[in-house]
Amino acid sequence: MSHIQQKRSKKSINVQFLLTFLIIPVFAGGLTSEGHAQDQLQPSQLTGGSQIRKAFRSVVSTPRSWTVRIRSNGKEACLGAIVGADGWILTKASQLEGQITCELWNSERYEAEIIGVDGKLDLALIKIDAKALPTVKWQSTTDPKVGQWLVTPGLSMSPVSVGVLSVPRRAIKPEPGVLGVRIDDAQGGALVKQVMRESGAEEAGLLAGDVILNVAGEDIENASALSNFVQKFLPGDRVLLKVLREKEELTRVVVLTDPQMLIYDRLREMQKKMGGELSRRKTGFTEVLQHDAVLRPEDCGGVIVDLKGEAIGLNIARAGRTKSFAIPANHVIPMIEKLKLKQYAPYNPVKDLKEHTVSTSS
Amino acid sequence: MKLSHLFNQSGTASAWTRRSLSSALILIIVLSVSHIRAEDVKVLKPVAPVPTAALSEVFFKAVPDSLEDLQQIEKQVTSLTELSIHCTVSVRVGDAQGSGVIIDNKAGYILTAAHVIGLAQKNATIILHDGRTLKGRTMGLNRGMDAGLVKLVEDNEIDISKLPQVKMGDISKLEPGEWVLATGHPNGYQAGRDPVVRLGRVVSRKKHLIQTDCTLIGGDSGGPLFNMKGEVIGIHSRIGPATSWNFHIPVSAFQNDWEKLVSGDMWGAKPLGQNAVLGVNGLDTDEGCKVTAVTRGFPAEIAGLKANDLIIQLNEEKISGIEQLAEIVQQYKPGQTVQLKVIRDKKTMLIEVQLAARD
Repeated sequence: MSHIQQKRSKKSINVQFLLTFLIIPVFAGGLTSEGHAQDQLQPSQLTGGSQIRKAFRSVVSTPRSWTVRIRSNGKEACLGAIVGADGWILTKASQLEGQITCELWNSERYEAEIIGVDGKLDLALIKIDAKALPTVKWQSTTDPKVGQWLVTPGLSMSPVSVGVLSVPRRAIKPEPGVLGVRIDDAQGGALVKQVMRESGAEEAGLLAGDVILNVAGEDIENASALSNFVQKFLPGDRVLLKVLREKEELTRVVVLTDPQMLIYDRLREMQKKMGGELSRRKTGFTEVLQHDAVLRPEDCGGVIVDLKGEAIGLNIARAGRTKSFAIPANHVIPMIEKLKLKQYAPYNPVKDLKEHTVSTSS
Repeated sequence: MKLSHLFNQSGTASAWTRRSLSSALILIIVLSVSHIRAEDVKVLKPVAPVPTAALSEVFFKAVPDSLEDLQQIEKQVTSLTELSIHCTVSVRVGDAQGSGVIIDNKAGYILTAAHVIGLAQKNATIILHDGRTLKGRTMGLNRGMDAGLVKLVEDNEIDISKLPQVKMGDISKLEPGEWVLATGHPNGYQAGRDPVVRLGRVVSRKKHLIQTDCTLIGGDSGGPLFNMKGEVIGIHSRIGPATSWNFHIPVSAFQNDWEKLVSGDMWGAKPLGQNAVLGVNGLDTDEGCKVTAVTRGFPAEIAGLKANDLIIQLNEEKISGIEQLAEIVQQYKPGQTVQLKVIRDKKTMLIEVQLAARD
């Protein structure tokens, strides 16, 4: 039997080896509550706490007007950055699905249309029907120094999060995504033997017994062909599947999953407890600035600014308990024109996905 | 002891804590190593550094409240990051991987966490911030506190005395709110990535543990926590679920037992394992268990229990004697915190003890 996670699982085990976590229950009932109130910093006084973020209000007073709150089917999906006065907005592509709406800092709401998607940087350009909007002021000439404040504006007067640059710019290698199924060979396709819990395959309604015939326009001959082909995509990418179920052909869109999140149920549970949810797509970036602001995945996609209020990049992923990633401004700026000119295909999974997804070898 | 204290005091978080959170996560790394004889080492007690130039006023405020304050913080932090990064190392002993900090380039001493090195007198691999690799030997460790010492081995290629070093700071006045910088190798050493910098504040200060909101993860263990003068004030040890639950052992754990660490002593109970241990000897009495001795480096001693204390209750259980106490302790797991009701000098007091592991 071959299955799609085989290669990935070996890799993950190696990583685990370096950091074996043990979960220990700690008794938390019936304890003393003697007067230690002064011994403890108030939550609002933490580095990301409300009192400290308040000190950054003057820093984000202009940047928040370039920032939009983006919702997918009514749910918070990400932030976005206004890059063109007549309604052009840049955001994190893999957070978008369904009906897209944008809320501006002045509470105005607009429906948005996806114009173009760059799979490599996970950027999407969307358009709203508005005029004379304030636009991002980029700072791409010098990188911030390690330890320098990096501030993530939202729509409110205080920023949504603050932190410092942790690591200078570097590349983040892609970690291919998986469907989240165990598979075997079948005639003219790959037989689904098992659908893994909380995977994209489960979300899309795949069932054991389904035969996968085609993925993103590519006919699938057998199990290993499926495995090899899917590896060209990243977690968060959407692929259109043609599936044979009881002699009937169905189509399903599957959002690829980070294999680590499937193999180690415990790891995933731990991650949730130990610092919140992570972005679905968090690897495979040409270059990122790593900072230590604690962000929700839904607060990625907007700009990150220095103390002068200039945008040094675009938050692209919440990548771990200790790290958030931003794409540096010099990579973001040229993408705006490319996406406007539709040099990348509009994002429509029902058409051929191959045009705008990333190959791990590229 | 300390962990649950924090749980209980986190105010609004406490109800949530009690309801849904019954676990804390502790970083630990599996080791496989063998015994080697102790060597003669020169004992050189580190001296607390002379105070440097006065820090900006913002560092004494409850919170920064202006752009100028933020600029002052930024100015100070960015002036410290280079040396902080350069003196941070990756420490590997067997399969275990953590971080460490060079505090003495004459003798080649590196502070790290006890759970990273595991045992004294083992071979260690030290990777400098720039990827150069050196050999090291593990020295002493206080397993109860999670303090460990490594000594660099002389190298033909690299002049150890030219390596960057940082001083240990005076933490007697360390208070919640102090700004701190953490470095380390989260998720292990990665070629081409410098040690990773995080800025935060001291959330709480206990005798044996500093809590900050500098986010840590596996691989950071043993890495340094710096004050705003660039002195090492703590060593990363463990984390809890919230991003503000990052725990560092104070450098006083090294300063107070420096000679023992340098001479390769190994003491204290491991925080994790199968069977829980308290570390007391006692007698049965009518009122409870009278403590006759506390074991050095074990939970009871760390929590401040003393000989002649009378233990009358553990959580909800009445205590009648030493054997019954031992049985009740066995109902818990290492790492759990229990509350002892103790009579000392006719006064009743409550002492929280975080249980450790019996070997």
